[in-house]
Amino acid sequence: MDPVEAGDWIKGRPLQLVFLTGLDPANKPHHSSIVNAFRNRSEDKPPLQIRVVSGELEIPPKREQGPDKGILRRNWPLKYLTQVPALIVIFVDLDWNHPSWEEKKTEAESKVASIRAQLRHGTKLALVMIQQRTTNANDNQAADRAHEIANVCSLAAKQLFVLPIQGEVQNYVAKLENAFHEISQSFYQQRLKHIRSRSIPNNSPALVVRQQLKLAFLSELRQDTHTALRNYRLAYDQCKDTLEQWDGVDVFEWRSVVGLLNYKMCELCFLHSTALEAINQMRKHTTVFFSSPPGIYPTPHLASIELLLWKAKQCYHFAQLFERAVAGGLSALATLNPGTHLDQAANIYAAANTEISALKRSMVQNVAYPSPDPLENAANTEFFGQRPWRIGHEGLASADVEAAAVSAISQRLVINHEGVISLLTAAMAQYKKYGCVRMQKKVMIEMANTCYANNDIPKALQLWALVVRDSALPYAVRKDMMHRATWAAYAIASVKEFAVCCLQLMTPAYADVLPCQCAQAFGQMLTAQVPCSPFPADDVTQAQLQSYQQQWQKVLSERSKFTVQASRIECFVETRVSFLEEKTVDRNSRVAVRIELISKIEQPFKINDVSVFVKAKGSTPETSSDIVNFDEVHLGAVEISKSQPMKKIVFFDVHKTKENMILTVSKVVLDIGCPQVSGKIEFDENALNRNLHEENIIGLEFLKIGPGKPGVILENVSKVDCLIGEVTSTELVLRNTSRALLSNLRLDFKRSEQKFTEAAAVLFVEKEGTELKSEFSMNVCDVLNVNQTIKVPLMFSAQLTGTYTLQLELNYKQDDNSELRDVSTILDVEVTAKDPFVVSSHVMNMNGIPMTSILNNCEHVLNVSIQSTASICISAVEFLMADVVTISDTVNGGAGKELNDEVHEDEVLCYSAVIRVLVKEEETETPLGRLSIDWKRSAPNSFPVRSVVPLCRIPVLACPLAIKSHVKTSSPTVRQPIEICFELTNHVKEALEITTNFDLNDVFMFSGERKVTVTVLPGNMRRITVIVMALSAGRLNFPKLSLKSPQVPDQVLQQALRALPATIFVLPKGKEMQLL
Amino acid sequence: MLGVAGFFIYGRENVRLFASVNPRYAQQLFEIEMFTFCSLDIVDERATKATEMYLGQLYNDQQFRSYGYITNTGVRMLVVFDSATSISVKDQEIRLIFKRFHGHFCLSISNPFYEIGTPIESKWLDEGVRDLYAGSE
Repeated sequence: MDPVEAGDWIKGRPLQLVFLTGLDPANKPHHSSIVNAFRNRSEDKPPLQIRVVSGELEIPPKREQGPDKGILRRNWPLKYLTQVPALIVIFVDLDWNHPSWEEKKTEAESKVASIRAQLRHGTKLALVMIQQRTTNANDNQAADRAHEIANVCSLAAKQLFVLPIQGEVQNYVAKLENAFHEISQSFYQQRLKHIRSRSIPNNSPALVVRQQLKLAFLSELRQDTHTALRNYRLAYDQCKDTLEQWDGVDVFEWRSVVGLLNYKMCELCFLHSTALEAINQMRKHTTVFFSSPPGIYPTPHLASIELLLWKAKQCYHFAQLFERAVAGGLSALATLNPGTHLDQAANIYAAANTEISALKRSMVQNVAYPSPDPLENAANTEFFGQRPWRIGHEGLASADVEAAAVSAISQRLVINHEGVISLLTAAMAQYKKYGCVRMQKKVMIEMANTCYANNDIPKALQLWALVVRDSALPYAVRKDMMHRATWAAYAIASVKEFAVCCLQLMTPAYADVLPCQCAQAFGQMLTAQVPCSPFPADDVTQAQLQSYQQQWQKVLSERSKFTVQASRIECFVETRVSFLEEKTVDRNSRVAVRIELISKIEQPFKINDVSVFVKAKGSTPETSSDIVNFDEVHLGAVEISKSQPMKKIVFFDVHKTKENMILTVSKVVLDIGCPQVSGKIEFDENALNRNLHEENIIGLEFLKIGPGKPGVILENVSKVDCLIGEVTSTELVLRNTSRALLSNLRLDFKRSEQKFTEAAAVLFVEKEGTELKSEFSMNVCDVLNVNQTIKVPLMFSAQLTGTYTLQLELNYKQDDNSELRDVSTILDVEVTAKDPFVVSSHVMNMNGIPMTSILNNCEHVLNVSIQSTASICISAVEFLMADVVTISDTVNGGAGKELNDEVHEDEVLCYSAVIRVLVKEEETETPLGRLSIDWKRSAPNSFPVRSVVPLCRIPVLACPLAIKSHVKTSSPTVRQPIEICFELTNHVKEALEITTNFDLNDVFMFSGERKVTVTVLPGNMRRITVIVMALSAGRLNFPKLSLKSPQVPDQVLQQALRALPATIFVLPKGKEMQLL
Repeated sequence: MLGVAGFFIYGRENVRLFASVNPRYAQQLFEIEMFTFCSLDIVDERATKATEMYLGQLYNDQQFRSYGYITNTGVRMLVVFDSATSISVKDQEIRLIFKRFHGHFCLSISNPFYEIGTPIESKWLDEGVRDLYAGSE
């Protein structure tokens, strides 16, 4: 018999029952608005269940006290929820100043008296006077009449209410509801006192439980859930403590009550937000009552089934409560979630199904259902959990009735696999929600088992196939699954499923399950014979087996094909593939693929054909849709065993691929079976090289398609060093590395297609040509045989410094299988070009002091340093001065036209010239001109180059006066007169008055005019001669002259004086020879 | 009687390193294996929040209850108890069992020829587990 359901009342929170009478909403609009206001319930309002009654009240009379044999009357809770109100409210239309006040008062009195006469159980009364207008607080008439009517109706003042219908009825109704709730509380308090005061003879467990349950329920109605929980717990503990005293025939009833108590306790715990307490209560409940003996009534077998069904129901109800709490905001965990309870419920339900199935098998067939039906009143029993056939009986019913009841229950029991599946589905949803992947798998296995039991074999096989893919699943579990899967596949004669099972069971890891039969059965199936039975000896009847075999015969008589995806199963054959190539291969090349088939079993396994598929696909997400599939390669028939694996190497032409594509072995297909039953085992990318570490793979798992090796390579030249301007001669050696004959080889340099701008500036000299060209094109040769080399001379002149690549385009025709194909390839020649020398120039005065600015019309020395960066020979150096610059002396500076100055790397050569700048006005920067250098490399057959480099720029200051000095004495000697002439030249168009003053010093004796004032006419020159005598020999400071002029600033004159020499060398005097 | 049904060791990535089922429960091998497998879900959940090596009770059903322990290197240890016989078992007793089991595990992996992360085949561990079974009788 199914567990007893408490009824709908248990689903919601119990509400206090209040009856409203005296209202006529159909005929009186203001009554209708009042009723609507009361019916508008929301959670924030007092917990009242308001019912409008009219006419006679149907309040159940008090039951006669008598000996009860049950625990809790089935309709007792319903009595307080639907029949016995806590309060009856009488509405009357009566204003304080009603003209017929007395009559109306009497009418109200009679109404109250009539209802009071019908009351039972101490239900409270209240009177509401519906009035047209509001009552003032200081209305004495109202106060008097209120007192009057309360007295007449025997009501306390707080039981009398006034409801003005003008204004906000909702607000008045809300106030009334609060008042009704208060009155109702007192009613339930009174009932609790009354029930608590009842004495329990001999502390009868049933009566104690009943009393506590009633107290708890009334406390719930009183909204005192904590007291309710305490009373429920007391009742539950009473049941637990008296578990062993339960009368064997009443176990079902006790269990029903215990289930109800547990449900209420858990519900209240969740309501109090003490979820852990609820879970612990359920745990305790499971521990104590789930392991209790099932009993023997009505029969041991039925009792056991009833216990299982009850247990399943308990778990299910708890899961529902838990789920409701989670929906209400409780946060669950993987450890504590409703799924575990649903799962448990499903397990127990499945066990019950198994027992029901066993019971059905053992039942005598074709027994008529008993009449009258002993279970007819199952929904109307007097007590909760009472056996329907024992209504009105004390103890057992008559033997006939009991036997009929057993028969009826047995016949009514049904195997409900759908129920189990729905529980498992709900559990799986919960596990999924809380991320319990393994528990999900467990549920899937259980679901598959249930489907198998329900004869839904395709679904079961599908679920098993899904679960068995998880390699983390313990073998014990997988073995069990495969066991069942094999039976299922055999039972439905599914060639493919049976093959899948056999392929897996043949792996040594499963060897314990059907150790030899699976290989034999698989072999038989592949040869179109009926496979031997996989069932244990006593698991199927002979008739069943025959029917299966007939089914197989029928299937095998037709042509059947199957395909097994090896990635979805654990197969006894492993396939290893790898490429025996470098990581990057060329387009259009042939790649070697190694195939190894390994069998894990000793028995030879025959394969009709092995097909290898290779594909290339784009490596980036954008190009991943580009897939090139190559024609498969067939290896033919092979036979493999554990000791005899197959190892083969095949070649694929990977043409039609693009650069950067990834080349992989997409699948290996094994063809097995015979024409009648043919099968394919497909090893896709997930199944290939499975269980093989990367480091153990011989070769590479995938290859990358490289840019494609050119048919011609540049063999010798890697780098050419050259100097800017020189014509560099090099030789390119081209080799034919392709496997074909090349013809019409042509080498081009296209300026516009160069990657480097420096490369575009390179000039070339054609073979036997005499001029420099920016592009060139030459025929290399007509035919270049395989592996033949050819030398191509290349002469060029780099114009810009740096390291860059010359991209030479080589065009040729390639002979591919008698088909001439135009091929173009780029040859890269790396060039490092640098300047042949670094030229620096600066200007010095005559004393060798570097100048930052110079005076016009004065002589200065221009000094040029040439630092060579390579070994070169300078054959000519020529100063190409600017127009304003004149060279005073070119002979002594080292420059000239027929030089042979060898200079090596990092060595410096200097050339100089005396210059004079003839600008008339001051200039911030005057370019001095250029220097032409003729040079060539110090190497045989080198070409001469003329390089012209700019000279420095220098600011020029305008000075009207130039001063020069001449030592007229040929060899100045100590203590001998030395004549020095100072020449003053006027370069402007006005006469200059100059005062010269000779500076005396200790080194020289002086003779002549010390201070002279002269006027120098425009363009003229004046000489001032002085005679000095040096008092010591050696390098002495040049005798100094100071100048003053009213026309020329002193600063400029100081600058001009710097043109004078700084020192004079005076010779010592030799000893005089005395002639004897 | 504690009713230890089995000892299991899993690596950091839940790869099984060791499994032993009490011979008394050999008939329930499937149930124990499945139960342990499911318990790993709870270990995964608790491992991240664990403040000590002992993880407490993981999972229970009508037949078994499992307790977990996680070492500092992330190795997970599970002990499965028979629900019927282990009702009164104290937390302290379970901690002691884990401590001993951990000790045996450490002894086994101290073998220089043992490669960490591979299934353990050690007579030390087998004997240690046998002792633990005997002690729980």
